[in-house]
Amino acid sequence: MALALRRDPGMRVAEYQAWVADRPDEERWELIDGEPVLLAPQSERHQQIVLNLSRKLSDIVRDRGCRAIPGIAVLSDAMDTFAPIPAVVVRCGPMLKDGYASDPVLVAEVLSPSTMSRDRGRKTDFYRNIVSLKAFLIVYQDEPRVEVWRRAPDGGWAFEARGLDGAIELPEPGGRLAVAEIYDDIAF
Amino acid sequence: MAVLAQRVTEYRAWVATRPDDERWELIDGVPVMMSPAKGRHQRIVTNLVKYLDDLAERRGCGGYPGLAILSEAMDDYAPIPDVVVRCGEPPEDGYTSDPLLVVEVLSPSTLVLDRGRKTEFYQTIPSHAVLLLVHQDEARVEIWRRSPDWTVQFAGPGAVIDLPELGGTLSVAEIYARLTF
Repeated sequence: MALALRRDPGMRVAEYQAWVADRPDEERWELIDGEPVLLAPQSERHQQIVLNLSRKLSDIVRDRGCRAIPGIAVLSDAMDTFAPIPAVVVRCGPMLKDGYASDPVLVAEVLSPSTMSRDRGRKTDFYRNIVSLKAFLIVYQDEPRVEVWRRAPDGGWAFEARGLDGAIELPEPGGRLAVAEIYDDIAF
Repeated sequence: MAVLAQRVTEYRAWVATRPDDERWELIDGVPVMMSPAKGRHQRIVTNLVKYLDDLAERRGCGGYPGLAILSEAMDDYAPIPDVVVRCGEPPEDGYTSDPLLVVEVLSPSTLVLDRGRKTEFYQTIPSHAVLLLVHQDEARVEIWRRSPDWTVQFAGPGAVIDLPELGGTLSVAEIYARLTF
C-alpha cells in the first residue's frame, strides 16, 4: 500500500527558484518544507558570530582546497521541498555559477529565538539527508555553546555539545575549530 | 509495512487493536512504535513525575507519565511526552487535549523530533503553558513559556526553575537526583 498524500507538499525547488527570481533583490527567501519563508534582518551579534565562523572555517579549509561561504542555499535531491540558506556552508567542488549548493561537507546555523524549533528540527532533518554532508554545527547566540551532529561510519548521526573551552574536530576536510574563536568579540 | 497516512481518529481505532504492551505515537500521520526507555531516562522521568505530581496536587492537577496529547490544530499527531501535568481527573482513555505542562527527556535519537516538530505541536494547544526539555547527558534544561510569544530560557546545574503555573519551583538538582554525570 502506498503512503497516501496527506497534504499538498507545497512548492518544490524548481517552482521556488522561478518564484524567487520575481521577488525584489533585497528580499532573501528560503524554501522550508514547501513554503517560502522570508529571512528576517539579523542582529549585529548574530552577524558577528557568522563572520567569526566564516573567517575561522575559511582559515582551516582554504589550504585543503575548500571554501567557507555565508549566504548560499543548500539543496538535496532526496528532499526537494527545501532550499534553506545556512549561516555558513563549507564546500570543496568547483565554484558554483549560482547560489545553490548540493555538495556541502559542513553546514553551520546560528540560532535565533524565533527560528530555534525550525533550525533544530526540520532543518536538521534536511541537512542530515544530504549525501555529502559530514557535519552540521548548531551555534547558540546567548551562551557559548555549539552542538555538533557528525555523520558516523555506519551512516547514522552522533551528537555532541561543546562549551567555551572545547574544540570541534572537522571530519571533512579536516582541521580543528576552537569554540572560543566562534565567540570573538561577543560578550555574555 | 507501509501504512496509509492517518489522522487521529483512524489512529486511535488502529492502536486499540494492537497488543497492550506496545506503545505507539502518531507522528506526522505515521504510527511510530516507542522503544523501551533506558534506566537513566526512566530515573529522570520518575524524579519529575514524583515532584511535579506533588506540586500539582495542591491545585487539583496531576503529573502523569504516558498520556497522549491531542491538538485541534494538528490532527495527524498524537505524541506521548515523558511527563504531562494536567488538571482535573486523569483522562480515562489516556488522551488529553488540555495539558498544562509538558516534559520531554531528550536523547540523541529523539532530539530532532522533540526540539522541532513536537515543540511546534505542543505550542498549538491553548492550555499548554510550559514545556521543559531535559537533557540526559548534561544537567541542562530548556524552559519554553508562552508570554504571549514563545520564549526560551536555559537552566544549568544549581539553578532553580520558577513554575508560577504550578505555584512553586523546581530545582535542577531535583530533576537529576540519584544520577551521576
